[in-house]
Amino acid sequence: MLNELHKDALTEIINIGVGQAGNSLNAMLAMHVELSVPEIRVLQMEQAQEELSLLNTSSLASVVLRFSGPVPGKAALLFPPESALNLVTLLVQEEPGDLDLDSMRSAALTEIGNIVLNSVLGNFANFLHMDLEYSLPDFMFESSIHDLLEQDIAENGYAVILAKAHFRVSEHSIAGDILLLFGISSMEELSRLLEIVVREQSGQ
Amino acid sequence: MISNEIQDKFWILNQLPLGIFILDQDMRIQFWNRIMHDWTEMDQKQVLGQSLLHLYPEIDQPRFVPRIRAVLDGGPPAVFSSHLHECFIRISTRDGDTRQQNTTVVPVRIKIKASSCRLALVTIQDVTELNRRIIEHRKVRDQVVEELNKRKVIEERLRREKSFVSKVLDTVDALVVLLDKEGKLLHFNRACERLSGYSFAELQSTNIGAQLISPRDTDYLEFFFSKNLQDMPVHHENFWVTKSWEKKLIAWSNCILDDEDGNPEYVLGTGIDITEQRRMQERIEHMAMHDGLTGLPNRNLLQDRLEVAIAGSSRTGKKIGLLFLDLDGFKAINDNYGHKSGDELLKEVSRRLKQTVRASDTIARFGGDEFVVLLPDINSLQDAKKVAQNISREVSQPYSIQSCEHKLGVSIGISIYPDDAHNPEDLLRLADMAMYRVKKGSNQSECPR
Repeated sequence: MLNELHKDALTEIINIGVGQAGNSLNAMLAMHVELSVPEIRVLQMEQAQEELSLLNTSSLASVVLRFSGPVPGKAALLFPPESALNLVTLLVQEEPGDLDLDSMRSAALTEIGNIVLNSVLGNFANFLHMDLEYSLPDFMFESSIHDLLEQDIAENGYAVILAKAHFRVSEHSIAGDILLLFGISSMEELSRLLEIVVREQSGQ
Repeated sequence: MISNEIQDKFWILNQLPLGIFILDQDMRIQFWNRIMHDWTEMDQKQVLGQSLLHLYPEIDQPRFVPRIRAVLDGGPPAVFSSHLHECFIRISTRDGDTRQQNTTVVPVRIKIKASSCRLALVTIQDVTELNRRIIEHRKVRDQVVEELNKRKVIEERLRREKSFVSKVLDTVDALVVLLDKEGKLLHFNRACERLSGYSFAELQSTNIGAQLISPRDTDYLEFFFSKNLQDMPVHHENFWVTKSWEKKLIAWSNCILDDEDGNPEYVLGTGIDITEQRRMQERIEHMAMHDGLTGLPNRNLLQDRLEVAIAGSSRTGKKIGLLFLDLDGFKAINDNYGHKSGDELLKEVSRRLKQTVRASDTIARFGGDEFVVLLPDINSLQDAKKVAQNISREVSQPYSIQSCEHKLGVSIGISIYPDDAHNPEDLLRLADMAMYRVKKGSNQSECPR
């Protein structure tokens, strides 16, 4: 498992990624979107399920990105219904008119998921000097937490990294939470790679 | 040239129905497939090696470039939806509309002379038609939903009206039936159920004639149904045979309901049970026309029959005989043995009179001990005299009333139509007078005129 130093490093990596995602969103929306990650936790599969069970009943939209390489896994961005709605209104500012709301909603959320996950995973891979292969983002609507957490490749030490990200757009008084979920199949490899980074930084 | 390597590797992408091109690290075009050629009318030779941003300056925006850059740096694929960015590069359709595009930018890595090289594969799907269809589909769906909602409102209103109407129909005492044009029962209200003893469920969809209508009336009804409800009477009466085999006389008012084309479709009948009313009426009529003690017709009925007989006789040319009877010795028995014996005696006299005459003759009691016998269809006075003799003989036979033996006589006066008179009053008067003369005479029972 990860020690405190590893966790600090991981938190920082994810925070930087989320920060970059915020910049991308700003550029795209031409408005100031604050994205912050107040909380990151590393959980066992069972704990994660318990933690997220509250969300199980609501109509959850999610974008999933699978990755393979030294640390294979799956990253998902979960939008609780209210946040999803807020984000869509933000992205689609013109009158819906002839556009189809359902398609627009899935398209908008997929792209937000794509931007946020790409920044976070890009950073993650860069910092740990990994070459990862990625799938195209999948948009899922009303999928269960269990399906999201299920991992195709079950290696030793499978764990879930759960990050709660908060977004805020002051201009539009819109705020909400999105959940960032990493299912990591090889925690051993992850802690080995984090160890290298920690040592590099402390100059050892 | 890396381009050659790329052509070798990616030629298959020419076969796909998607616009595909490949960018190198400097965002220069290294591959341009056949669909891109079709859409842009620029072939690969024209664009190869050119910068994408130079060719399509509209891409040079913060929402596109950094994300493509990240892919070239080995990051995850980027997607650009037509719903958020109408198009990635501006390409027109044949009709001049901008093609709506879903675009993905995926990192690819190729090895050229032992060194690996990162590229970005850009795939553009033309979703103009797809989006149009989705919108149309949604419009149709919205219309259907709206239509369904409208219908729901109407159905709800109809349901409420129907329940109101059926409540009214079930509350009224009148019988209400709805029949289709074959005579099948479609509605049968509570009053019908109460009267007939049948539930609607038992009769539903059966023919009204099958169980309910008295066999005597079914032909009459079938006649109207066979003629497509033409000439269906507005008012008629028929008998129902109830579940407990009682006959009920019902007076119906009918109303024909037409379909949209004006053809008869339903019969709505409302009816009242008039069995009791009719029975009462008949009793009253009987009482008005009959003698309470003997059950024989009274003066009124005799008057009627006499008029009818006169009318008949003027057609057939036959004669009518009228016998006026007055009992001899009755008053004494009545006084000495009491009214009860007197009444019994009168009843016995009536019985004997009835046995003596033809069924077509009428015997009437004129009150007290007076009787009148009407003989239609006789040929002569002789015929009437013969009847008078027979009556006299029968009435004179001894009577046994309450263990006592009694004897009676009878005086009979006769008048003949048209020989003696032409109207009922005169005929009766003449017969009465003749009887009176007989009585005054020798108590004999024959003496016409």
